[in-house]
Amino acid sequence: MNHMNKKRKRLIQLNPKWMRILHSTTALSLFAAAPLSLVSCGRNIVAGYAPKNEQEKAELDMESGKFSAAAERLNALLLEDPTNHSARSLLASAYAAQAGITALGLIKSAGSSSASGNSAQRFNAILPDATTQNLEWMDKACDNMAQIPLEARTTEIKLQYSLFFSAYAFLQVKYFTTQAEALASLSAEDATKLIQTLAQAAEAGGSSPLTKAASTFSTSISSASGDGITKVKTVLAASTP
Amino acid sequence: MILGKHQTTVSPLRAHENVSPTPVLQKLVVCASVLTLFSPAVLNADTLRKSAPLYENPFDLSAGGASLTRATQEGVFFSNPSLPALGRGVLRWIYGRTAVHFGADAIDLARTSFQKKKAGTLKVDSSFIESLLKTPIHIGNDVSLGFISAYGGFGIFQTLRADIEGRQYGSVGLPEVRTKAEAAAGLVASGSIPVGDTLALGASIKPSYAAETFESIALSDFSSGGSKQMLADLKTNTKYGYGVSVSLGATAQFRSQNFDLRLASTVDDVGQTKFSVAEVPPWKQTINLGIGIVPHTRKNALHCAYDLRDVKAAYGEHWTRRSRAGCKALFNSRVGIAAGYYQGWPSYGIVLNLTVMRLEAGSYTREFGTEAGTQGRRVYFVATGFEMP
Repeated sequence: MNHMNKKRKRLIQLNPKWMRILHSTTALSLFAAAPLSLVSCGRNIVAGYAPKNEQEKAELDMESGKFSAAAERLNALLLEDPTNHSARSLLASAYAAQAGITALGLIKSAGSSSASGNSAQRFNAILPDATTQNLEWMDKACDNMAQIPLEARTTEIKLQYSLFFSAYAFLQVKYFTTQAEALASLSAEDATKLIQTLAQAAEAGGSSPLTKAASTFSTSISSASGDGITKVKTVLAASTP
Repeated sequence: MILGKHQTTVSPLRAHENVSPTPVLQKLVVCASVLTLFSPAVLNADTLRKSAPLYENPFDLSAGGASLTRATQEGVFFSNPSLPALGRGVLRWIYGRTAVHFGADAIDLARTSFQKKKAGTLKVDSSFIESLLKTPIHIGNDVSLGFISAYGGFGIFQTLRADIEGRQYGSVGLPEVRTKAEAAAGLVASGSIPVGDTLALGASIKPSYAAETFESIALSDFSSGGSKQMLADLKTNTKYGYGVSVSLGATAQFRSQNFDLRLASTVDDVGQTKFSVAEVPPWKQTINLGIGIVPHTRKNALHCAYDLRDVKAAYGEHWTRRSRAGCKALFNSRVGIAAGYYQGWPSYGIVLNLTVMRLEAGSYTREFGTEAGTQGRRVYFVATGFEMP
């Protein structure tokens, strides 16, 4: 029995040399852990093993201004699930942001805009440059908003819808009113596009100054004389700064 | 007065009393199996409460939150009620503690605002509001008071965690303010008994009031009703109720002169914790496993541990969110330092035991994303209190 106890004791009580090594190792591991926290710059060491929530990552990309990365993630998500309407609305936001347009910016600027003149001239100041690239981004943004079925449009989506369509309409107006040659070469297709954009902006309703202005602008075109293209040209010419 | 007294060193004189781990391990497995019989019902309602304990001692958080095999003071009530039975002496502590937690971002914003105010350049304009929108605010506090002996203890506790986060691009692209808060206050009582020389069993009961709210307010809500709408929504979405949470714990300790190994299993919210108000989602039953090694001398100890919480994933969290790992080094029962990884995020802290007064400070990172590593926010804490051995 004594023999058994001694044997058991030997098994559990390690050689002092090994105990010292064990102590040093564990102590070192602790003291290594604190600097590691700093070396890892606060990174998460298990993130690589965690599942990825691409939509959440896209939201975070948006917050940090990585709009194209967000758009890439959201497009991949929508390929898998085209009915993910919140992802589509966020994608529209990513495209608009690449054109320099944000919902918050529009509401803030449109509310505080004190520029005199008609609505088109007022919004020229708060909209980005009317470059072909920016128009393309807004076209993509509005195209995505339009893909969200009416019944799936929440209050938030409706607000974003009206803001983006209004902004896109006034960006088109800015394009034609700030470049003389653009207005001269305005095609029937361009005119139809503008009328449609304004109609879609009005369709969602909303009480923001931008949406109201879009509605007023649309009414001005309707009440002008002539055919479609002439009406648009007349109103645009009157809006030229 | 002694740090983690109940888990500290083993007298060399008692080292010979150690027995072969195998039968004890079997006992532990049997205990864990019995505990797992309380399988939770499948619940659809979601709750903010996940696999984390109802209350976490701040110093334990700074050690990565791995507290199943060794917890600090009042932490034993919530992490593993069997732990007190493993230490020496009958009377452990009469304690009181207050801790405050602040998110690093909010501290930075407050510091900048204070400097601007001092310089007379602080303006509450749109840029200030925008910076508020971009600055997540996290605050928290814990208060506890109680008594712990080798056979259990009782106490009162209160804990709160609140987060406000503004997003320029919310879930659909519009600006959004997200508010999330969890709070609980109540009584706690526990009992623990040693079974042989290596096993301890314990149970705790926590009758408490719990409240939680989660509200996501998009720009359209603000435009239609402003802050009044936000407050009204918050009030509507705040759920609170009374419930009694029960936890069971089993810990096995294999000791030698300078090295201990601990294995622990607990079941929290046994059979699920239901609340007096039906709208409050029940807390699901979780089963937790932990392993810890404790090389030590008579006066100093190092405890390194890994906990896997909610092994059956009742809350549906990935294992990376349920993992806690870290080390605590305790020197002469006076000073303790800790470092670890809480859900994979680094954490660290220090504790000073000044006769009766106790000071703790440190930092950890809370995960605000749905998955580990998505959106960590650094949180600093300071805790002060007393303990009378």
